[in-house]
Parts: sequence; structure tokens; C-alpha cells
Amino acid sequence: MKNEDIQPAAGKGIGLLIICEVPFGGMEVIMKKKLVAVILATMVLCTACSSGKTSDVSSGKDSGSNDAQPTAGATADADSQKEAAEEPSTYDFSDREPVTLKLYMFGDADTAQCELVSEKLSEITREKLNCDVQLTRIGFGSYVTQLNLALSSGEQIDVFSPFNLSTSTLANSGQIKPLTKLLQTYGKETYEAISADDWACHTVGDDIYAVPPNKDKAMDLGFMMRKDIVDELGIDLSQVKDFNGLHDVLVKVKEAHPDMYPAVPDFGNMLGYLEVDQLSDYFGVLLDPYTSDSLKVENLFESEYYKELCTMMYGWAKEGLLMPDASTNTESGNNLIKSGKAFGRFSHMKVGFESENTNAIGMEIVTWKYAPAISVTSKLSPAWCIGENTVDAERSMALLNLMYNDPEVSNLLINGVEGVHYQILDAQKGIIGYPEGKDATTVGYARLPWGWPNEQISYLWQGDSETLWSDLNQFNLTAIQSPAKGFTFDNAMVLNEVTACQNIYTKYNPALLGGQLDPEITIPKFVEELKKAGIGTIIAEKQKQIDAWAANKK
Amino acid sequence: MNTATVTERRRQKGRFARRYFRYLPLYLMMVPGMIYLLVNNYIPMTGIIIAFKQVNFRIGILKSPFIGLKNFEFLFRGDAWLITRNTIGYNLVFIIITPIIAISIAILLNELTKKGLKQFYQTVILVPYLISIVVVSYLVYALLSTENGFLNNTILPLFGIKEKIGWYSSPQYWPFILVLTQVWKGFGYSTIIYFATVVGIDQSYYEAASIDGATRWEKVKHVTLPCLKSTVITLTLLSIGRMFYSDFGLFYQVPMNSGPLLDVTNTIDTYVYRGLMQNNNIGMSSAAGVFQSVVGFILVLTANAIVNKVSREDALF
Repeated sequence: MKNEDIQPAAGKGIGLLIICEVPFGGMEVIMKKKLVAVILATMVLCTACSSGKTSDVSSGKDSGSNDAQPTAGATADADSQKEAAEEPSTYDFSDREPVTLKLYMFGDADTAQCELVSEKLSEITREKLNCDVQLTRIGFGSYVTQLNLALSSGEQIDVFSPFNLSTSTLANSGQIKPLTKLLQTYGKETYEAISADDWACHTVGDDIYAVPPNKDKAMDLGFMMRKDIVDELGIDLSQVKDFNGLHDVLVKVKEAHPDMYPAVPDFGNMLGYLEVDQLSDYFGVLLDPYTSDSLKVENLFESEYYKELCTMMYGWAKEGLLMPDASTNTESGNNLIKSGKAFGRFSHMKVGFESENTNAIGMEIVTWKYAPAISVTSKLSPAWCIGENTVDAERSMALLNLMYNDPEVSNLLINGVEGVHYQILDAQKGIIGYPEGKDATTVGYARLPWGWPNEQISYLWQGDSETLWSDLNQFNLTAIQSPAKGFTFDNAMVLNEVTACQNIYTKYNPALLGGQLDPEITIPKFVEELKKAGIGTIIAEKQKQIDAWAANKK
Repeated sequence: MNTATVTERRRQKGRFARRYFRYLPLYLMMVPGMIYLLVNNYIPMTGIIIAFKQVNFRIGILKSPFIGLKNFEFLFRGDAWLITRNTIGYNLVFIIITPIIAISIAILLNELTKKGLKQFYQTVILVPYLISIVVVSYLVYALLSTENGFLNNTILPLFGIKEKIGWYSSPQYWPFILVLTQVWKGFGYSTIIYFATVVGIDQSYYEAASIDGATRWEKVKHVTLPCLKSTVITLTLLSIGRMFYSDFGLFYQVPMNSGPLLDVTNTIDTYVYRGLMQNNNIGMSSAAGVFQSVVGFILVLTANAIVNKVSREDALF
């Protein structure tokens, strides 16, 4: 009797013990990005506790800085007058506690290499800003995810690049600091160096929220390809006038190299950019930003242009000119070309694009362009922000100012440490290259000049044109300005619709542009589903905002 | 009469006290686990409020304005029917197929007499469970890729099929591919659980059955399966609780995020991920989490109530 009493209970206990494992086992899946209650809630708690604390601290600091401001401002004024525009002014923080500012940037880099750069950088900032800097770099694949986590969990982030997160979203959710005042007091040089048009691209409401980088601010569209094959087949690119011409080139390549894909996608996108102003997302665009001043927001996917493009790609895919299953390919286009399996790919371009990609791929690259350079709001990104959870907003601003104006700092961040990550090849012209025996894959510190605030005060890389920076300026100045440049769409009001449309967009768009789906059948379905998901509401809201923006501008 | 009940009660009380005292060390051993549960699973539940707020980090979560159910709206828009169907449909299939396969294999394993072989098979069937889903997705890709895939280049030509199949743009195959992948990956783990139960069945039942002249099949039918019943029910109840969740890796990584497949691969988790990846909206993502938990909770309660009606002793609570 007694035995029987105990046995089932024990049996059940064991069963339960084993069973408890099940949900946890299921969780061991990586990239489980759904921010479910468990993880989230833990963060909430932290934020709830810490946000109370930070607000106290920051309000205390605000009052403190009000006292400090006049003196700091005065020194800054005196400094900038004394040292002219050449040397960035130093702001005096010697009366403050030394801190460590945290700097986040995308792109692969080993921790050890980052520490090396941080150490060198701290040597400069300790003297100028009375602070240390700790640089963290995270690869493209997980940067946004990790940044999101850090921003939502109340972790300390001082200066960071939001990569493809929109400034308006970050500003509206209160994750970044408004910068206008800070720029006027601790970032004068930067404030003056950037044009009002460019500032407008990162203004939300009445405040500037991010510092646009000094890089290519426009893009032209084209097709990049291997020069050796172009030469081998005797192709004269200057004779290629339109997509039909490109088609003939690709056909020739296909005939000569049947084992090679004439065109490959870049991370699953055959055509990442179209000849429209996408206005933040693709839901509601300006169909002709090149020649017209019209600010009419239209549905790209219903347009004749989109249909023609998809039909063309579908035809090309049928002829075997495009890599099959393009939209599922997770490889970068450059890697595909590097592997020798591909001839070329579509891309947006800029001055120096050829040499940049020749360096990256290790094969000589030539380009053929089909759309002229245009400057749109999104080309002023990724910009640089100061996190709401910064330990010292003023010092962060001063650091950002240093990154924008001090060649030594800019070089350090872009190229790394001399002798370790690069060596000087021509001191006179300021040309550098990888040190002996090292290359892009072994150096451990990814070089992404355009991602940093100011590439134009850094060294030129081996193979770059000597006039690269002046050419780049010329390129920026002569580019067509989209009539909507400076406008940023705030999607807070239509987030439900955007979420639904985003899913439908992933379902159809990459596959349509990759030539995998028949546009005759698919586009009507695509448009229908978008309508059901509320693209009309998004377009109406966008139109309302852009009209208000235009009226405000006048 | 009266005094008798009083003494009876007193005696019972004494027995209770003694029993508690006897089990005290066990209760003490439970304390760390309880604290862990409290800290890890219960306190964070307060985070549910995020789902009802328009979070603004500048003023803090607690001070952010309440916006009612607005964060939940996006779950019921556009493809809502499709993602619900996919999430629940696939889970139902998994819940039915996995135990069947796992139990069959557990019983077969138990029939093996060589110890070495038994351990070898146990290890082999557990291997897929231990492989990261990203690796699994590339294994699947190696099989299915249009250009270099094993199926298109080696298997199909053997059967005289020359035309290459674009697996990643043909949704009709994916319900099978996904179920196959999931079962292949997950059955090893369930098998081990069932195997542990099978091993634990009292041998005397089998002896008695042998004396009664039962065949092997009859022993399985009348001894093993009935003894497994409560494990099966408990495991199933728990999977029902997670029926509104989907394995993100399985539905996002394995189909390589291919657009044309979305009709059969989009589940609630991938929908939320795709929709919010760019928008970074903490309120909406937690709304999705809360919604999943609430539905899961209701499903568990309902399933348990049904079990209570049918076979009381096997219910969870």
C-alpha cells in the first residue's frame, strides 16, 4: 500500500523534471530575435530602476552644467578665435571627474584590435577631454540587434552610429539626445561645417538629433563588373547606352563563360536601389526626383516604371543572365565576384567606387552607369548620435566634434594604428596601405571610412585617386538634389500599416526584382495585398507630412 | 464519539508535523529553485506593462503614456489569418508526429539487447538536436539549392527528372520540408525522454505478460504504451502551451528568408521580426509576446480541463 502511494508520485516528479527541460531546450535557437516578455521584461526592470536614477542624475547635471556653461562657452570662444579653423578647439573638462565614454560602430573588428585603437584614442582624449574612450565594433549582421538591446536596456552608450535605424524613430522613442544646443556650445566647428540642407536631414521637430557624416552625399546607379572579362571580350562600355546595351554585354559574357553568372545579387538584392526617391521606406515614393520638382507621393509598385523593370529582370532571368534564386542568397555580391563565379552586379555608386571595390575584391573593377548622381535624405546616413544614457552629453559632443574635425582622431578610427593596421606608403601625399604581410582579412580591423563622421580628413588608401576628396566634394556639389531632400518620414502614426506592408514587401519585392516571379501575375497580387495592409494610409500620411515640411521650408 | 474525533485529529496533526519535519531538508533544497523561478520568471512579468505603453526612454517606461491596445493592432492586420494558420497548423502537426516517431524509436531502442549498440543509436539520434539551426539551414540549402543542390544534381537525375526545381521559390513543397526538418531535428530529444520512461517500467509486468503467453507486440500494446500514457499527456500539454510560438530559426533561417515562400513559412514570430526589425518598437514587440503568452495560457488551461474530464489522474493540475 505504502509503496504504491509513493511510486506514482515519484514517477510524476521525474516526468516533470525532465519535462521542465523542454521549453528551455527549444530556446537554445540562435538569433531568437523575438523580444519576448521574458528577456524584455528583465530589461524593463533594469530600465525602470536605472531610468529613475539617470533622470535624477541628468537633471542634477543639467543644473550643474548651467553654472559651468558660461565659462566653458567662453573658453571655447576664445580658443576658436585663437586657433582659427585649422585646429579643433578644445573644451575644458579638467574640473570634471574623468569618465570612460563608450563609442559604438558597425563593422567587424577583433576585440584586441579595438582595445589597441581605444588605448591610442584615449591617450588623445585624456589630454583634451579628460576622458577615456572605449570603442566597440560589431559586425553588420548583428549590429542593429545588439544596438537595439543596448539602447532599450539602459546600458551606457555615449557616441554611436545607428547604422540603418532612422533618426526620427530613435528621437521619438527618446533614445537619443537632441543636439542643437550641444552643437552650439561643444561642437561649434562641426555645427558650422555642415550645411543647413544637410542638417535638415536629421532634424526632428525643432532639434537636430544626429550629425551627418562628411562622405558621399549622393549616389549614381550602375553596374559594376570585372575588367579582365570586359577586356577579354573586347567590350566598349562607352558604347553601352541603356539596359538593352547592358543586356547584350551580359549575353556575351554568358556565351563566353557559361559557368559564370553574368549578374549576381548583393545580400539577396539584385537591384537594391531604384531610380526614385524612396522617402525612408519604399511605401510611397517620388517617382521622378531627377527632373521634376513635384512632391507627389505615389505608390511605386503600381507604377509603369516598376512593372517595366520587373518584366525586364524576369526576361533576363529566363535567359539565364541572373543568378537563380537571387533573393535567397545571403552572400555579399563582392564575395560572389571574388569567388570567380560572377561577372558583376548592380549597385549604387559614388566617386572612387571603382578603386574601393577593386581593393575589396582584389580584381580590377569597371562600372557602367545608368542614372546620374542624386542626393536624397537617406544618403546623409548613417549619421552619428549621442545616446540618452550617456554619462556626459557635453563631453560626448566634444568627442564627436573631435572625430569630425581632428585628422589624428579620424585617421585612428578609420584606419587603426600605424604599423599595426596600416603603414604609410607616401608621407607627402598621405597615401597608406596594409602593412607587410597583412590584408583585409588578416588585419582584424575593418576599414569603413564612409561610416565614420569625416573620412575626408583621413589618409588616402593605396589605389585611391589622389584627388579623391576634392572629386568627392565636386560630386556632392554637382549632384541633382531631390526635391524631398531634408524630409524624413516619421512613421509613428502608421506603424501598424508599415509593419504589415514590410512583410508583404519582403514577400514579393526582392523576388520580383531578382527575376524569379512573373510580374504579369505577381504585381497585381502584390499591389492588392499592400492595399489591404493599408499602404494607402501610409501614403496619405507621408503626403501630409511632406506638404507640411515643404510649407515650413518656404 | 466526540473525544474520539478530537484524539483522531490530534493524532493526524502530529503525523503532519512529523511528516513536514521529515521532509524539511527537501523543502530547503527547493528554496534556491523557487528563488530562481521568482527572480527569473515572475518578477519580469511586470514588464507586461510595456505592451500597453508608448515607450519613451527619455521619460522612462513607468512614466510613458498608456495607449491601451494600440500596440496589439498590427497583429490583426494584413496576413493575420495566414500567420495564425501557419503557426498553429505546423505546431499541431509537430505535436502529433513527433511523439509517434519518438515513441516508436524509444520502444525499438528498448528491444535492443546489445548495450554498446543501444548507446551508439542513442547518441546518433540525438546529434541533429544538438546542431545549431543555422547549420541545419545550410544543410538543407546544400540539398535544395537550385544550382549546386544535391537533390537537383544527383538525386532527381537518377529518377530521370532533368528539369531543375527551384525549391526556394516553390511554396507547395515547404510544408513537407519544414515538417521533415523539424522532426529530424527534434525527435532525438523526445526519444530520449520516452526511452527513459520505457526503461523505468517495472520488469515484473513484462514477466507476468510473458507467463500469460503475450507476444512481443502484445507486450508493447498492453504494457509499454499504457505505462507511457501519462508522460505523453504531460509532454503534449506542455507543447500545447507553446502552440502559439514558433521556432524562429526553423521558419526564418531554414527557408533562407525567401519571399515567395512566405505564404507557407510566415509565422507569428517571423512576422513580428520582419515587421519590427527596422522600426525598433519595443511596445509592439512586447505586445506580440504578451499575446502569445496569453493564448498559450488559455490553450493549456483548456487542454488540461479536457484531460481532467477524460482521465483525471493524468492532468497537470
